[in-house]
Amino acid sequence: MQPSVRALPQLLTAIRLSFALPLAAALHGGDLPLAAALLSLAIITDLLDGWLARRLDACSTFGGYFDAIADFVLVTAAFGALTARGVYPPWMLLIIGLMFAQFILTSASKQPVHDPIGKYYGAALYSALLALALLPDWLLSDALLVGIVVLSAVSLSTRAFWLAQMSAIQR
Amino acid sequence: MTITAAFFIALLILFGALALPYSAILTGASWLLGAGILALAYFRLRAKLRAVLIIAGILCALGVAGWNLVLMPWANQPVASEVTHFNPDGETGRALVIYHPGRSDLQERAVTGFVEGLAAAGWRVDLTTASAQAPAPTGYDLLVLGAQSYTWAPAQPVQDYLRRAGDLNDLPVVAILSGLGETGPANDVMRDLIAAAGGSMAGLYNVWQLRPIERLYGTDDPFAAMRGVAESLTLTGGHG
Repeated sequence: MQPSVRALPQLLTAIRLSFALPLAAALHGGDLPLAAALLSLAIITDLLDGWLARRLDACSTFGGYFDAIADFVLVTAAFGALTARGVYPPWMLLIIGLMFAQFILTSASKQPVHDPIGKYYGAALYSALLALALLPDWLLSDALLVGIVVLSAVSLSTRAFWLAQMSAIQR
Repeated sequence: MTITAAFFIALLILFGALALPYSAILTGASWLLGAGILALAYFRLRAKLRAVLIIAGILCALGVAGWNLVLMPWANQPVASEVTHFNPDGETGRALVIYHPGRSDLQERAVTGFVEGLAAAGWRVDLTTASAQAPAPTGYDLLVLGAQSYTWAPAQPVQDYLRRAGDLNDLPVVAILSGLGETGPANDVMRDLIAAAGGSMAGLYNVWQLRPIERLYGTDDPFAAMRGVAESLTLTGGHG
């Protein structure tokens, strides 16, 4: 297979990464239809890049990290813009940063980590942002904040519990 | 598993009914969701898909429960406060301003800007929050209602105030609706409520947290925007 075809998943990830600044600008400037369009494209590329990588047998460690970093940058840019507009408190960005850091740290671990929620964390954040861009309502933003905090807490505890169990077994 | 699914579908229907006073859309959506999950559960599905559906149903039931039992009552809780008087010597007329502060300081900034503008234009203004203690609008020349928009409707305490107020006898009413980014449906509800109460719509103004308001008012600051609107109030029309 041509190397250029095998690079297609990473190209999609790069396209998604390039949405970060326009998305932040659209959310901060209140252009919600543009933000919704960019988020829809981000969700589509997020689904497609992993699927294509598996189809083309082009899965790689770099691709996995690139995908996670692109998600982190895009989500942080979007929530950063919403925080700057006074929609979300600044600690929301800390939670997202903490989740990304724990994902990177536990992914580097030699032990496989069981986290049924972490797999869908990025998709959940994209969906939350899309819901907010389509239905901008105070209560919806509050509900999403609660949902993200709960999801983060469950994901963190699941990973921590799993790692603790594995360490105990090894000892 | 069928019993579990049935239990959560019943919860969805019950919690949906609890949303009825706030939002018929939300109630309809949760009932449709319950019916949809029930219908799907009767199809011949693979066990994994059925389990996913049931988990989705449980999450939806919890979401609808949290929304209706916690979020809606919290956001729509009436706030009682004393009446504050502004410009007691004003000669333009007497205005009563009733508002619900709500989830952010956006509504408060808009309403206080409006009050300052009215006072600058020579109005005597009485300001208070929407609660059972708020005075009736009798003896006033203008009623100003300020509410945040929650799930496509103005905050419940302001709706309740309007219903308690009785016949407004063509009293001019200005409404200031604030929202995260969408206030269109709440505008319609407010117009209908004012018409039903016999009030005369004198203006309807929107401010948003996420959408810029500069195009409407020449400034992105809700306080300055509403102050400017009140100063030039002619008691006809509004941006709606």
